[in-house]
Amino acid sequence: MKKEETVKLISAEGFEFVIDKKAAMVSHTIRNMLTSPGGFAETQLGEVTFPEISTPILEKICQYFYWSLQYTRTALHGCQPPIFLLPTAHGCIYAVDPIEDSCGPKNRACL
Amino acid sequence: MSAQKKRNFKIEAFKHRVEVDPKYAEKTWKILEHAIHEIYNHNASGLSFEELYRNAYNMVLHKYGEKLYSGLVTTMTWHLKEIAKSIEAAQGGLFLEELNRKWGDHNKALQMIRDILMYMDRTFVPSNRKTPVHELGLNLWRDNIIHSHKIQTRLLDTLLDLIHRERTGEVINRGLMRNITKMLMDLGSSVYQEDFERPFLEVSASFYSGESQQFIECCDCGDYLKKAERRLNEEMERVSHYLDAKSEAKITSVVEKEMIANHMQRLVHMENSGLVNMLVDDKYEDLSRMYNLFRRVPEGLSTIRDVMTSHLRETGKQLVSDPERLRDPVDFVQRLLDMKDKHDKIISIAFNNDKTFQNALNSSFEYFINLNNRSPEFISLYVDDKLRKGLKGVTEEDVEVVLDKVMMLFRYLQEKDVFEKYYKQHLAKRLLSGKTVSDDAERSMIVKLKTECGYQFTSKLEGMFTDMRTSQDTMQGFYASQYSETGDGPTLAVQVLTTGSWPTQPSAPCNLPAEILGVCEKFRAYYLGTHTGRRLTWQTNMGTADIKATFGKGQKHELNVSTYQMCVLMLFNSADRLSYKEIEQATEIPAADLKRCLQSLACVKGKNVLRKEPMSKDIAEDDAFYFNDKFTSKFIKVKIGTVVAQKESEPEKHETRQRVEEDRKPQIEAAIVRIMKSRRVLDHNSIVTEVTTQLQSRFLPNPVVIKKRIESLIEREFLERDKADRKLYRYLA
Repeated sequence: MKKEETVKLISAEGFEFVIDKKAAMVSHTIRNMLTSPGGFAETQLGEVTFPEISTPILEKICQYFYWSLQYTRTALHGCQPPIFLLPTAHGCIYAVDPIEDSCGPKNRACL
Repeated sequence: MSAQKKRNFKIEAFKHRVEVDPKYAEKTWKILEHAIHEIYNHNASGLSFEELYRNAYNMVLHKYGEKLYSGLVTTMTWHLKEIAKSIEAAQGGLFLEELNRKWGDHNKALQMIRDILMYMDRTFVPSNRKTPVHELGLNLWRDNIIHSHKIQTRLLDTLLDLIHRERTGEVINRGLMRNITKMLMDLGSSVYQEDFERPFLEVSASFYSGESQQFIECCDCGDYLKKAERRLNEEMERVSHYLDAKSEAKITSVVEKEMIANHMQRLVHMENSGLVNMLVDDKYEDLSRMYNLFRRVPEGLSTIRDVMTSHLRETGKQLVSDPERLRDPVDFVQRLLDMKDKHDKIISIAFNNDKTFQNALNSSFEYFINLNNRSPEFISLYVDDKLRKGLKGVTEEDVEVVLDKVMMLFRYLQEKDVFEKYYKQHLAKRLLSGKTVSDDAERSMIVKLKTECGYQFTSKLEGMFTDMRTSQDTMQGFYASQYSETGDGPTLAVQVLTTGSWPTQPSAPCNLPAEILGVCEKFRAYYLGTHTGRRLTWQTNMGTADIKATFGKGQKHELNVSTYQMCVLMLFNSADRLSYKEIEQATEIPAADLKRCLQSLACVKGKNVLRKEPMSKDIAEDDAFYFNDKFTSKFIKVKIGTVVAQKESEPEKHETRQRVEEDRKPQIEAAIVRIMKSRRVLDHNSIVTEVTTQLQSRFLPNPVVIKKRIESLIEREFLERDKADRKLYRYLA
């Protein structure tokens, strides 16, 4: 992957997740962050730090991004995409909200 | 855990772990306030978006949204006031540039601020009915900068001054203007309209009012229109470059009003260069420009149309009343055709083939053609001239073109029945003398008349053609039959005319020479043998003859003469000298005709086969005539004075007119009876209107004549007057 097409998400513990920019842009907030005019630190360095989000949660979030990218189009055609699993033990459910800014797609938690 | 399985999970907002700190809100706000300052000071590079976003998010979540919002308003306002000061301080030309630059900066800052305060914008703002951040930023800019009393007037004055300079020929920075007007539009269309557009339109109105006054004093019509067009295009171009598109209609209507609408009358009536001069001189470009400009203003086109109509009527009236013109009918009609052509061309090139102008042209022609009551006669003479010689050698399409043009004039005639009468006369003369240039052209004309006026109009004319054809067949039959003997008798060519179809002329007496009589009787016998129950009358005033004559030195000539002339000449076979009286007695030709006939034989240079004593031009009772032995001519065949269709003399004119009037009476009566039969009861005025409508394709009936006809019908018991109401009439079955 080319450097320009990627962005680095850093968790509270310092884990670095390098993902496609396209995937990261699924989140409106990250999208605004990266496209805002003026020289915010994030845009310049190409990396976003989340000091309040733990590593496993951030990992799940990155998986969600890819899942969303892959199956949004399928959903538009009316097919049912595979269910995205959110393990409750991690308290993951709560993490979806601030990044998405909305009550994202209906995820059914399964054990 | 298993109990939780069945529950639907509620998605709640993520709560960061925060300390319970009484000063929490204040601290967080301070961070954000500092960030806003840095943004306005172009120092944003060090800031972390994520941190700021998180802080704003937390404030809203913990119910400090109001503090955040009002803090934002205060901070932004403070910054804007500072910016206002720096703009006010700018000198002269730099004022607009400074304003433009600061506006760009503000927009950028606004976007950054909105991005980090996104959460508030989406949750707190709508639920508390606050103005969203972006809109808030625009409103604050508007209130603190644009409407600051020092900047407001200065801005407007600068803009108007630049526009004025550009109008007087200077070059200005259009890009900068564009940005400024776009800024005003972004702030709201009411800002644009109130702070710029309305004063702009007022100033433009007074500018153009002054300029148009100046131009009209010193320019002629064509130049003025050029200038007006130029200004109009300029304004439209100005709008496209740096004003809002919606202003185009408004500014163009200002220019149209000031430069065109206010001066319309003066332009059109301008001496030496106004509309009439343009029409006369075929100034297509100027006329086209006038049309396009005047089209934009109310009453513009009707002004042009009215002036054109009155000009046409004047010119036409002069044309038809000018005694000089009336001498030559063919020329008269040609001039009418030329006038129509000229104006058709003007309408198609300059006036965009506008139908209303076509109609104005038609109504004007209709008006003045009918001012002269000889128009039908003259038009018929024109066609006669064309069909005799004018269309010689012309292609079929061109023939159609000429005839179509004549038909156009024919349509304008109100007295079409007069035309019919004359056309019949002229056609008869053409057919009988064999002088028509092309049979196809004749037929084409008949077809056109039929299309225009219906079968009735042309049935008699077609009858004339049929007679000619039938006569040819009859002649062939005659010569093939036993009745004709080959011998040295004269060869006879007879045309048998059906009385109803041909223009009636009373047949005058005429003593034919014996040789002729013989062969004529033979024909009569033949004809009556095949067609019983018919009566034949020789029309000696319409015939022609070819005579072989031998003159003094033995030179032989073949003379083509009329029947009357032939009778006179044959007398000289048995006498050398004859007096007028003797000739009159012998031939029994009526005096007027005889005089004309002798004149053409004796008094016309180059055609004088007879010699007259005395050598005067007029024929007197005691003149004597001699066979002119000394007659010479270059040609073997000499044609002597065939009667050409001329325009009628006064008495002839009266006679024709009277006949037309007589013919009209039964037509009017027939119309009245038709109407009353279907309506049963009708009042006087309605009858008059109905009759006029029914007959208008042929002629315009005189209401007095209609009244007389009604009275005549009452006498003859076709109608009766109502006993109660004198104005009402009743049909009697």
